[in-house]
Amino acid sequence: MAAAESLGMAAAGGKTYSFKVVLLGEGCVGKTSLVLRYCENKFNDKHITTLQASFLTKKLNITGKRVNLAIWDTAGQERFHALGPIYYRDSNGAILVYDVTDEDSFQKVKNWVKELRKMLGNEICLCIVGNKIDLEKERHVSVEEAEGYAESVGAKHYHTSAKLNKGIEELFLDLCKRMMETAQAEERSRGNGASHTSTARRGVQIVDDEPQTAMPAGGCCTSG
Amino acid sequence: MDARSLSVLDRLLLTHSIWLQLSINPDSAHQILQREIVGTFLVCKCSASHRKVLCVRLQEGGVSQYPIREEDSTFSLESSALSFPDLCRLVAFYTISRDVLPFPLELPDAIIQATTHTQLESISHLGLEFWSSQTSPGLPNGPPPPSAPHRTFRLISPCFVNPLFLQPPQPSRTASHKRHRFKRSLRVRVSNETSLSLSGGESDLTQGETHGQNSNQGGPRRTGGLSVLRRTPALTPTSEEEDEQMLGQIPPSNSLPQQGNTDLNKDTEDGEVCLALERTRAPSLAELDSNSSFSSLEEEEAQADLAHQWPPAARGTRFPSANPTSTLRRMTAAFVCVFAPERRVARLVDELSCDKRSTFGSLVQDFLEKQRQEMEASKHSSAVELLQGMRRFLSQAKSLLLEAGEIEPPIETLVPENEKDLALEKALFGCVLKPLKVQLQQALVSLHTKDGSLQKITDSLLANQEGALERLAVRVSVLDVRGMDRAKAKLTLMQRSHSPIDKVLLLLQVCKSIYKAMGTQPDQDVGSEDFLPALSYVLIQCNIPQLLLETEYMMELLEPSWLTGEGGYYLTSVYASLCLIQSKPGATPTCSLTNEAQEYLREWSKRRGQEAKTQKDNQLKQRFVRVLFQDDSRSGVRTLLWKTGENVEALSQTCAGLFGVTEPQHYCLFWRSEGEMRPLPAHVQPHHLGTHEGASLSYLRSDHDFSKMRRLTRGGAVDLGESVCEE
Repeated sequence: MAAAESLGMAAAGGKTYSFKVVLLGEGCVGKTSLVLRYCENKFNDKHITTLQASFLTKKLNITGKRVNLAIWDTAGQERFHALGPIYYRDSNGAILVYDVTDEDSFQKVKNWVKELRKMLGNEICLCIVGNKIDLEKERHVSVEEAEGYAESVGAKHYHTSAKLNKGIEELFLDLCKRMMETAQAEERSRGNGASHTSTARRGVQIVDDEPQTAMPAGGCCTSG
Repeated sequence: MDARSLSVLDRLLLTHSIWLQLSINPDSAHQILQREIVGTFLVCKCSASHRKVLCVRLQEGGVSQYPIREEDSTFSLESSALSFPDLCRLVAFYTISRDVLPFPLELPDAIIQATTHTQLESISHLGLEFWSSQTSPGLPNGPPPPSAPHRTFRLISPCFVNPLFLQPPQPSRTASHKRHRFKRSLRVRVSNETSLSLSGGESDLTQGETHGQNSNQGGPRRTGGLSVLRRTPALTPTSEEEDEQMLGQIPPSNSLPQQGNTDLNKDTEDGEVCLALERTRAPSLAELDSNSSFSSLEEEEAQADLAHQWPPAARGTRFPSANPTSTLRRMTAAFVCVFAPERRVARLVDELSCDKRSTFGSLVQDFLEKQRQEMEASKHSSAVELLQGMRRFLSQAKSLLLEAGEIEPPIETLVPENEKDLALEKALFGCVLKPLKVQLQQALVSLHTKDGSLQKITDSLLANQEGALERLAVRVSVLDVRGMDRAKAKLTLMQRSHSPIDKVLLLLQVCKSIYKAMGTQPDQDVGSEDFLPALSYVLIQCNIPQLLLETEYMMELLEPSWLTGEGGYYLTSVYASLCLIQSKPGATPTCSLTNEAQEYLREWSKRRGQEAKTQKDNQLKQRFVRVLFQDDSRSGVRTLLWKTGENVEALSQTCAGLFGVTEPQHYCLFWRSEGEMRPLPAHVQPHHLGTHEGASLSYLRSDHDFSKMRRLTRGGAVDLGESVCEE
């Protein structure tokens, strides 16, 4: 399709995937450390992100496909909860972090899962992450319970330790692969018309039944 | 006029439709070039890698491929250390110097032998057909005769194209470093007798020199008979100059302490060394900070200069066939004067938008008129609706620009692929939002006054002034008084720009200063938890209720996919902050906000779905078609929008009106089918046209003599005489 070509819409080959991943979880579960650990050394010292930023990016190459990850941190305290939708809309993936030593933080994750499924449907890839496994001795959330719950809501479960840098690479790599699969499936269902920006516009469950707006006047040639 | 007056660069610019074939892949290029003499070349696009490739005919019947690297606003052959500001210059250089090629590139004879631009234009109408139009090249395969190994030189006045800089083979070269050098080396050498003299313009040259003198105390430098044109501040300031200009615009009444100015400058200098990340998406903070040009702000002042430099006459007459000289002057002028590629695109798009005879121009002008009327009559029910209408138009206008091929030279030759979208967005903001700026601002204020939101945020900001730090539970250090003043100055400045991109840049600078002020311990991880309260505190202290309008303006008008990037994140944070500030103090804000936020999210999703759908539908339902018109005395090319459902007869009628044909019954539309020019069957619909870019039709007399047409194709370019397409 010539139009698609000229619009820079890529066929499979040279495609770059851009994904937005939102980071949710209570204030003290270590979600910021988790993602900083993942992205560290990635940025030059002058970039804002090394100033302990809440927006981070990571570039990956997965089976020959380029992937750009934009990772959005959110404020996790209860008083900010209502701001969630503003941050997670248009997300391709969500990482829901709890502290394995804190039963309450796991409950919060469950609340998030419920909300995300309600608002964004099944297209968003969910990862439930039990962090701080270096504190295994103080664990309050059982592995079975967490994994069972994740499975029941169609999410994947991971165990990580930001402190020991354990399990983090796997978590993100896995998430990327899943988001790519979702994007590819969506492309197939959309046929040729899929644009390379479509991945950023996903996560939409609401059916549009409004008439589309016509091209503004002058759409056709005019004799001057 | 003899051949000498047309430089290689001019010839390349005018005939890009022949050598630039981005819709074909190297294999097809290979087939085409096999029939040509050694050194003949095409620039095509590899469908697998999506990269442009220079294909050159070699001696032993082979064709060699040289991938073109596009990065940091420059073009270069992958195997070479030489970089060029645009694709035409790259090709022009390699017709003269071989560098990494086995021999210099050769232009086809017809292009070399043409003596006027009209001839070149008529050749260029052929597009890809050029390569099959010549039945017997009459030249054996193999190298050109030894007696004329460089005919280009003998026939055409040389054109000196100096690469921007050599890339040292150090692996650690950083983008910013390179760009910095790029800035320093912003000078082109152009032979006195080439592009400049061609464009009829000693005047152009003098202008260039005058401006050189004005801007650089040194004045124009002469190097062995070459005049060195330097950039002019009005057109392409360095970032330092830009910052100065920007600061110069802060009104004195702003109570900005003198100290503030110097600090601001320091700020941006720090940023200069930043790595630019994420070039293809939302502008990254670092990049924005250092390399951004606040074009929208700076334009205010540059306006006077521009008017002076570009006589109104040249602006109006840009329709190629109507006045070939002006086309060329326009293109050449754009090449000589303006160096920042983005600015060049902005200028071309702006000129096109002012010309109602172009498809794009008429679309833009009609839209502007309609918007003005609607705003005058207060027809919009909400600010969001108003802004969304604008964004839809921006997206449509952008796809029109990309599909209709009215930008000359094509944007693909001007900016690297990954910078194309940003350049176009900026250009569109300039020609759509800028003319509406004052009225739009008024309309938005009035709409937000009507719905009470402006009052609500004003009240909330006031109510929060006391004890904000405690209420927000800010756990980190915040901006000091001076920092706060600077932040306020930037947020105030933001309101003066029409460009959502420039607004985001300023916003990001504020966010960066907030991070800096946090001054956390190295082992302390600070995320959104701490940033959001700190940001909210700063917004309360700055106390600018209009920020609500600004945030909405940016969110609605920025290209939606950019909102995922860094700019989008911090914009979202500001939006979230404003929500937080407006939530009932003391009470648990959770419930009261959730409904609003959910509603907001629903709205958002609905819109996005709609946008994608509209875009897709448009692609299926319409097609831009270039129509070539020719009869005994006249010729012209126009781009038409052909919608599905519109039959061929209707299209013919449009053409008759467009080209001023008085006896339409004697004319019809032709297309090339199976290698022959045939009348377009009545049932044909847009999607039946060939799939290559820039589908073209010809509007000709029914008894058109095609033998004549073929004759003037390639073997020898016949001057079509005075081409007419005046309205």
